Amino acid sequence: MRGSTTAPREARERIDAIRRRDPAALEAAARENLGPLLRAARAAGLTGDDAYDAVQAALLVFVEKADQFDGRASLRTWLFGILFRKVAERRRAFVREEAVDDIEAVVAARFDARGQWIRPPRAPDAELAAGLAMAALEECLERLPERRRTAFVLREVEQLDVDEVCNVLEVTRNNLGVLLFRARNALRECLESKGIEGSADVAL
Amino acid sequence: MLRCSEVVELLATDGWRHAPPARRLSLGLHLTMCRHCRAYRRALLRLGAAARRLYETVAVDPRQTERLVGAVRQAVERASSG
Repeated sequence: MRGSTTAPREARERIDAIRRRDPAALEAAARENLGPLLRAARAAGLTGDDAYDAVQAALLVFVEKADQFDGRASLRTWLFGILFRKVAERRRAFVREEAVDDIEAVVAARFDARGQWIRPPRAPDAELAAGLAMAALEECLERLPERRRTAFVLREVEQLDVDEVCNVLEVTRNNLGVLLFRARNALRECLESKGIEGSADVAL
Repeated sequence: MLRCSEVVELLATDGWRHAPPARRLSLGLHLTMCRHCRAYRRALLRLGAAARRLYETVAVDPRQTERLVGAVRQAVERASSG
């Protein structure tokens, strides 16, 4: 069993109630995970009704497979797994990562041959207002390929631990590392190109 | 001694979490000595915090909540009667 400390382990009784499809237990489970599921669907690139439809599809699978829930993954991680399989079914475009990517060259260009910074992270423009910074972040997030954004959101927003994200996205630790490296650096480069950088006291 | 580019990789991939103790130690040492890498790490932390704040604004529409919970309820009824 992969260790996890992020999501609370479901109490035994709750697991049993879910497994025997106790209506109240399933309804409560659905209710408390609607927000996280919707955010995850959005992270995967679905908008408007499509995001809600994916959440609904995932919840129906949840009810169908409730008897198979063994509590090894937290309920939330399990639901995320169902959701992303649904998303992948719907749009086959949950594409594989390219072997190399531009962002790697962009990051590499910040270092000299000995691996020392040539262009270190820039100090932020103090004049940029908080609201502007958030709008910029939203824009930069939208530009990210879906898989990278999803990995980033599961780690940073939902704060799943590394192995939980690997389980949900069905990738190895190395694959996840690549996704996160690309997502974080692309976001940082994007924000910096807009004059916003999170390294000092701007409201990011 | 780790290079700055290696520090960036360890931090951005979350690779440091599963790195052997010696490597984590050199990461810590490097960070105490290198302000650019400290700035980079801080940038990543702030990026995460900002994303959490941004996604907090994604709220489920109350009508959708009722619709979705209703769909779950119906599915449970179907499952138990079937």
